[in-house]
Amino acid sequence: MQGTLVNKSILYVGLAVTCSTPNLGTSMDSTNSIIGNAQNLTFQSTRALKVNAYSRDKLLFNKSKLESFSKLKNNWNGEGSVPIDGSVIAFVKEMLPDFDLQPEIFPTGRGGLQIEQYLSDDSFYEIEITVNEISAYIVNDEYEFEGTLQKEDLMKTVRRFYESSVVA
Amino acid sequence: MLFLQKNPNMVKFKYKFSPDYNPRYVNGAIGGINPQGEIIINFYLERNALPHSQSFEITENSVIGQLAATEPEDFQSSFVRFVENGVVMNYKAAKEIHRWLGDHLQKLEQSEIK
Repeated sequence: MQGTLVNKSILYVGLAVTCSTPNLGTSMDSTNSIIGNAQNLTFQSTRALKVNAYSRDKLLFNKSKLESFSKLKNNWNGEGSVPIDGSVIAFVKEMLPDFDLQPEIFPTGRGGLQIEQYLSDDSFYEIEITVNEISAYIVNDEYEFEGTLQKEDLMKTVRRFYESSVVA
Repeated sequence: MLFLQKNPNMVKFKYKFSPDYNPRYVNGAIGGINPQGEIIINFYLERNALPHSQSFEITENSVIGQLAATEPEDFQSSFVRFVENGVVMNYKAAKEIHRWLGDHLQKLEQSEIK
């Protein structure tokens, strides 16, 4: 009997120590909260990637293209065409590594860049990025979009395209 | 293969576990790019070092007194990074795991999951 009491005492002390330890306490609170949101938490595997996904060679090639575009002078594509804005090049350069498949990139006469990818006739996107706006035309089996995008929405839109597209 | 033949529109991935499978806790990693152009990550658990031994004086009353010696002497300025496992992956796998990890971090950072 006495032994039982001693054991309980030890148990209670142990619990008190556990609860008063800041890290463990935080961990327990966090666990409870996460369990409460269990419906939002699922185990997910990484994706089964497309054959050409995340090609480092194509990424480096696109980066070198951007470098060459930065050297374009006034009237590079006939009278009135202007150099590609440095901020546009920097934006695209920063974004490129996140593309599942590396797009084609072209300079545009009004100082912007067009990025595009054709997976098939029914599955493609064309996005023009200028200093003032991002305009996009996106088509695949699930949806069609034509309009302007905010900078912060561009990658989400591109990712949605890749995730819902089937490479022909 | 048989499954694919029966269900041409489905594919099944089976998860096989090693008999000694048991996730480990880690709080750091050391690694980088290896000569093959792959990414190597060695996970470690960082903790304070512990002494191998400590010697205490015995007082006139035959009780344990002051700490007299510690081996090694510099243990208090040492830390242990215990490396138990690591992974090597190619660029493509690293990109996808980076994306996967980013997605989960983003979920953790959402206000409804605290």
